[in-house]
This record gives sequence, C-alpha cells and structure tokens, in this order.
Amino acid sequence: MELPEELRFENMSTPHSATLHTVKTQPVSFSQQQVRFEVPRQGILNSTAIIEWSFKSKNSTQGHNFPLGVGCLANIERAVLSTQSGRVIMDNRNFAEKQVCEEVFRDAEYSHFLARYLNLSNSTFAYTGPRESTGSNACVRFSGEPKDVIGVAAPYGRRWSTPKIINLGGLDSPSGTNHAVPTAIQQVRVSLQQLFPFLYGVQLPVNIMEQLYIDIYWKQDDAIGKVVVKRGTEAYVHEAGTVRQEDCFFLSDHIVYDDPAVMDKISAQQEAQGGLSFSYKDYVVQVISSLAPTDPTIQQYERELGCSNYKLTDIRNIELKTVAGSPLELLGRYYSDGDNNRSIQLSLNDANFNPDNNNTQMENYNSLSELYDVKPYIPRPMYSNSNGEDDGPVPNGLQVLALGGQLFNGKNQLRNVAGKLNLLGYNLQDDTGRPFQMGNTPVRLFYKKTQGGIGAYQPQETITEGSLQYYFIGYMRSFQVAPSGRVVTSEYD
Amino acid sequence: MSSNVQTSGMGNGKQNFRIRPSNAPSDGIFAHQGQPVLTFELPNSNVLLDPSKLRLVGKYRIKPGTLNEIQAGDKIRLDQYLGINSCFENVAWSSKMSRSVIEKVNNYPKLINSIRPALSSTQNYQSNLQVESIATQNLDYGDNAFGAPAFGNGGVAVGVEFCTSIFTGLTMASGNRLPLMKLGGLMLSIDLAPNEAVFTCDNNALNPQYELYDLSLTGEYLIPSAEERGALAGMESGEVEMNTFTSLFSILQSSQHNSVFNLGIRELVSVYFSFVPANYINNYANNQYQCMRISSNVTGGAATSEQVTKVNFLRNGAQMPFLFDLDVLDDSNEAQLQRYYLMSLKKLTDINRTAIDSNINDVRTAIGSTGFTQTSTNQMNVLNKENYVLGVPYDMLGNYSGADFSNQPLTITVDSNLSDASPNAMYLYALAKTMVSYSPSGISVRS
Repeated sequence: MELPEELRFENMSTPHSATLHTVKTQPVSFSQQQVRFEVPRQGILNSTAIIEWSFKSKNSTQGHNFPLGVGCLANIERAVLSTQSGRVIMDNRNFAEKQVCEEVFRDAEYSHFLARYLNLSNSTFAYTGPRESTGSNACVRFSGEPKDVIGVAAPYGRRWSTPKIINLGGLDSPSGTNHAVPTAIQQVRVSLQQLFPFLYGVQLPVNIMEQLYIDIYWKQDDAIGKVVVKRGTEAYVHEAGTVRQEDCFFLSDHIVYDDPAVMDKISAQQEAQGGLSFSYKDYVVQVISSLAPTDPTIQQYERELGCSNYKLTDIRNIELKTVAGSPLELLGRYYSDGDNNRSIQLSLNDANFNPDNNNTQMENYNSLSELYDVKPYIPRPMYSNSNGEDDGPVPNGLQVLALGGQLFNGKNQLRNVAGKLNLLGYNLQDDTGRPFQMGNTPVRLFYKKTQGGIGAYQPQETITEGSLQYYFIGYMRSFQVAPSGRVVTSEYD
Repeated sequence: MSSNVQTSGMGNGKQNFRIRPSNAPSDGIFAHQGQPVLTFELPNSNVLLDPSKLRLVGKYRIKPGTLNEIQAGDKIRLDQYLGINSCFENVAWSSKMSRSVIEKVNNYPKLINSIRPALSSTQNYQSNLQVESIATQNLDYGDNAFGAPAFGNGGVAVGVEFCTSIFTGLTMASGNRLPLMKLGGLMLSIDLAPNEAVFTCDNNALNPQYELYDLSLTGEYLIPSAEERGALAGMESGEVEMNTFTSLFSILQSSQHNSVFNLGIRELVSVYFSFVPANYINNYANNQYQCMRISSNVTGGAATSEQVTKVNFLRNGAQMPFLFDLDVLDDSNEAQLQRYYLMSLKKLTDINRTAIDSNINDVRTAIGSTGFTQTSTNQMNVLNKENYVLGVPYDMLGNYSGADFSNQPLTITVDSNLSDASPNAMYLYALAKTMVSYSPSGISVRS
C-alpha cells in the first residue's frame, strides 16, 4: 500500500497551497517522572515539531553542564508514541544512551552552532592552536573558548575550554561583566524527528488518526553523570535537579491544504486501500552486564539478541565501564569505552556476518561509518586506545607526548576521556537499502575484548573491570491506520 | 562460533570478506627494503563486488633500529593529506586470470593529493581520514602520533592500525557491482614507495624505514540469489563500464612550457596536474608528495614559488575545452584556475565542502612563512598546508561523458614567471571512461 505523496517527506509532483498552523501545547500531565502531550488532531503533523523544557540542577552554577556528547538528551529516559486505544507505535527505551550513537553523526557546523541552541551538547572538535598547549600544539580538543594563558588553567575555575554558552546556569547579562554564578536557566529542545526517527521520512495525518500521545519519561538526576556533569574543579552534582513544568511545551506545525480535495484524496486513498500503511524503522535494546574476566588479557562471551524473523537494518553497541556503568567527567554516562581492542561477530541465520572476529579498531570505525551518509565525527584519539597504554593512537613510546593526556587543552587531567567514543556499528542493509531478513533463529552475538600490546611492549590496560553494554538493533516494522482512524501496529514489515 | 556457514539463503546476500596478501613473505612484513610488492587476489567466483567498500587494512610502524640517531625534538613526518597512503607508490588493477591490466595508477600519492583535499573538509581530516588513513591535515599532530615521538628512540614493534580506502577510478568513480566471475577475478597489485619518499625528517642523520604488516583486503560481496546466479552464469559476453585514471609525467623547466600527451582515450572526463621541485623527489629532507607551485632558484632544499601566468589546453592544436586562454592576473588569487580545477573533480554545485582554501594556497604564506621561499624547514612547519593543483573538466555537464582523445594528442601549455630553468616535476592524471568487455575467451579493456 503506497502512501500518498503528501504524507511523505519529499518534493511533490503537484505542489498544493497550504496553511501551516503552529500550535504550542501544554502537557496534559506532568511530573518529575513523566510528561504527556496530546498531539493536536489538526491536518498533517509536519516533521518540524519540537518539545521544549528546562532543567534546573540544584546548584545551577557556572560549573554544570549536560553531558557534552548528548546534551539535554541525557534528560530523557524513554520516549513513547502511543494512541488513544493503547497501541504503541514507538517505544524508545534507553533513549539517551542511543543518542551516543546518533549525535556523533552530526557534522561540525551543526554541533558547533545549531546544537548549542537545541540541546546544549558540544560534540565537536578542533586542533589546538600554539597558544593553547604547553607540551605540544598538535592536539585535538573539544572546540570552544580558547585558553587565556598558555599552560594555565582557564579562568572561572574551569580547567576545560568548554564554551559558556552550554552552561546550565545560563549566560551573564550581555551588559554585565560579573562572571560569578549566573542564576538563569536555559531552555532546551529536542525535535520530534529525533525522538521518533521514522518522522524523518513521513508526516502523520493526525486529523484522520485516532488521538496520539507523546510520553517522555525523564531520567532521574540521582547519580553522577546521569543528567549533569561537573565542570572545572567543582564537585559532581547529581542532587535531584528538576525539570520545570512552566517551561515544558510541545510545539507542532500542522499542514492544512487549502484545497479540501487534497485532504479528501488522502482520505479516499485510505478508504480505497482499507487503510494507510506506514513502514518504519524501530529498534530494540539489549543490555548486557558482564563481570571482569578471570584472565585479565581477554574477555569473550556469546549471547542471543533475539530478533527472529525481523528485517534487520543495523546494530550498534556502546560499552560503559563497570557493571553499573561508571561516569566520566565530561561525557557523563554517555560514552563508549575503548581502552582495549573490542570486536563483535554476529551470527545471522546461522552464518557469520564477518569473516572473523578480529576486526581492528580502525575496521570497526569503517563499519560504523557505513550507517549513514555522514561520517561519524570522532577524532582518532577519541575513538580508541587501541595500541598503547592510555595514550590515544600512539602505539607506544613517550608518554609525555602522548595525545591521550593532551586531548583538549594540553593538560593531563583528561587522559581518561581518550578512547571514550568507541562506538561499534554495522549496517546490515545491502547497497540498495534492502534489510537483512532473519529466519527462525535469533541473532547470536560473539563479543571479544583483548588487551593490546601484550609482552615486552607497553600493554594496554588489563581487563580488570566489568562492563555495561547496550546493543541497539534496528529493524523494519509497520503500522496501519484503518479507515476508522484506528491504529494497528505490527512487529513486522 | 557455533556455525561457520558462509551464505544462508536468506538475509539479503550481503557477505563481508577478508583476503590476505597472496605474496606474503614468511614474516608477513612488507617494506620497500624487503618485500616491496603487495598483491591481493579476488576470486573469480559467481559473486558481485562493490568496489567502493574495499579497504586496505593493516599496521604501520617505523622499523626498529632505524631511529637510533634520533635526538629530542627531531621531526619525522608523513604527508598530512596522505597519511598511510604515502607508502603506496603504484597501484594496479588487473584480471586475475588473464592478467589484463584494467587500471594502473603510477605515483598514487600524487593522485590522492590531486583529489582528496579538495573534496574533503577539515572535519574529515579530524575524523574518518584521520582514523582510517592517519591523514591529519596537521603536521605536528601527525608527527606526534605517527612519527618520531610515537615510536621513540629506536622504534618499537607495535604498529599503528589503518584501514584505508583505495583511491582509484575503479573503486571511487565507477559505482558498479562488478561480476567477479566474468572478469576472471581481480588482482590488486601495490608497489611500495621508497622510505625517502614516505618520510620527511629534519635531522639528516636519520634514515627511518617503514614496515607494513598484518595486511588484508576487506570488502563486501553481494551473493546473488539462485535465480540471479543462473542468469549471471548464462551471460557469455558483455561489457562493464568503469572510470579509470591514467597517470603521466613531465618536467617543466621553462617559462613557456609545452607538454604533449598521446592519451589514446576515447572518453576523457577530466585532467589535473600538480608540481613539485624535481630535487625534492626521493630525499628525506623534503616532501615530494606535496602539490606545490612552480618553483625557481631550486638549490638544496630551498626554492622560490612562482606564479602561473597563463594555461592552455589543446586537442590536436585547437583549444579545448575552452576557446580562450586561462589568463592569470599578476598577484591575483588565480580564481579562474581554481574554479576549473574544482570543476574537473565534480560539478561545482556538488562541492559543498573542501579542506583547501585561498588562504592555504596563498602564494605568500602557503608554506608556513611570509615571502615566497620554500625550505625544508618551512615544509615541516605546522602552518604549511599548501595543496596547489590545476585542472580542467571535459564533461562540462558532469555526466561522465567526455571528449575523444583516441587519435588526437592533448597539449598543455603553461606560462609562468620561472626564469632560471629549475626543473619542476609535473604529475598529470587523466580520468576517463573505460569499457571492460568479457567473453569466453577472456576480457579486453578499451579506453
């Protein structure tokens, strides 16, 4: 069943004049656990809708940010699009963790400019200039404000050159020169497309569908790095920050075609076909917690990830240190640990996806880069510590000049961030975009982590800690809108 | 794993593969002073190959013992736009069964530097090109990560991983699924570059050597369905269209230079060329892979940049593709030349990012110093990012249908301010449409 072109996000063969109605909706229910919005049933829901809110950490001082990689998306535990009759079109669990695999695919311009106005992330990088590093002027760092003085910590108690514009405490008054603790609160926003990615491709005819609801479950600020990270020399903050109801809105744009015949045509097609069918990509999450291996040089395990009979599109993985997922200073709990060589082998329909399970980290990056047309914007020192001991890309040698210790501004305090965007990902679609049809067997996973540089050469860290892993498995599914407006969802396409 | 079945009959036919070199020495190490030729063979089985997915995977290191004379602060550098691709001098594709050469690129690093920097952004050099090819667009960073400090005194035996694309016409611009059985399989042959070409050092007591090991060629087959396999097997003869590069070389030594190339190409899509002082070739003091301006006063490692004043492209003595001279105003930014160079790579409207700009190629500051002087020191300066290439398109519509040079020579005239007969090496590449015909008697390649 073909969708009418008016519902697809593309140029139309016969453009129609339309009126765009922008609606600002308050929540129908709100708490510190969850917020629910009712999607206005008017025309066609354009893909530009956004949800806004603000978050106030207990000490909204200058030193607090959302995690730099995912920004305010760390505030979202789960996002659900459901209907009045209780059908769930999309239920995105572990939403914030998934965004670690998404935000790196933004280009530098987006991250450097737009993201700061949207979600307060700062996931972009630049080479340091000669004035910004004492040891070497050839490092890669998060872009932001340059250091004021060579080799001396930046002002205002900050050791990192993160830009003040992403500060949770807000900015100083434009006319003010006082840099002490601002008290403003910044509003943040996430697009509906990012919450429910199938909306990148289609627009929902909400006027002929049963009532839709959007539920967002907030991530609780009850542990270090879950929602807020520290900045500078200040202590971690995780003391029950709150989402403010007065700033929480759903802003949606609704297209109403001026010619009633266009809307009639959509309804007629719905009638004629017995309903409209929307095919879309969803993902399932598997969380695997593994203890440290007995042999600290190698860890291997095999797991089943389910997904029998699904049409798979991709699989992604992030790994946090320790079985509970320990936080980092800048990235919070939204990173992927690459201290050791990691590789994944998949058994799909009882056939191995890769010829072996010894992919190098650089091959892993290459596989990851096939998920989208845009390359993941992860500098080599951030991607892996595959060769030497906590020193980024350097195979061995002089630790003094090692890049891991000088990732951002030439100081050593951030060496623990080196190799912390070690995402793994495989595109399972073929070159024409056909998904991978699974049979009656589940996806089987064979995971391997090894300590590199073993022997006389300075080795990587031993594997003495457990890990918390998230696997996001994309697959094709569908929902139908019956002529009555009732929505029926299906796990299969 | 519990199973090692290679194809399942379901899925979508996608199958990753890894192929090891077919000529590996017993220790698995490839080096210019050792085993300098690297060969991979893709089978003539009934599968389709997506050539754009091919990657050359391995590890690079500086040979232990070749840095014994190193002093603190010494610099040992790879070209910032090439990274690991500095090590590959010539790359050739041929049929595995018949050995017919489909494409051969000589001076492969010069080809990459004629294309890649203009079509990538600095962001690419901070992400995919840096991770996969150790190409950083930052000499200091590359030096620290992959040069002298990284390997320390005497070098160590742990290598830097790489996973680089292969920059040939067949892999970059063809966009076809190749039926390997019909081509009789494919063979990739790579000649490794001399150590003196790969490294640039500021201490003339150093003679670093590189080694490549743990090498493999990875990629993706598409396994046809049973019906498609039957159909493919039944096709006795046919043609596959590809785009291939032809590499040519000349020396520019006068202010009014004339080069004549008999290309023998039926559909020439574009040509581009670049210069480097001839005495920069094969020595540790200079980077021969950098695309530079025409140079005069070439003595030792020093030279002076000169401006091009006019360029002309002729077919059979008549101007083509332009019916006018490409004049350059004195002290100008040579906008017209740069415009046509970019057009030779891609439609202008499709070029939405580039790592090269007028500042980087500004004749006054391009090599990291004010004035026009090139020196070994300036070439190693972190501010040096010059990548100066000239070129013209022949498929003005950008549809890869080019001009016929099969029986007509291509003449390029370059007027410059060069006045002292300093020899400048000129590396020219022609991108052309090539037809590969297959039949029971083998394959034939027609340019």
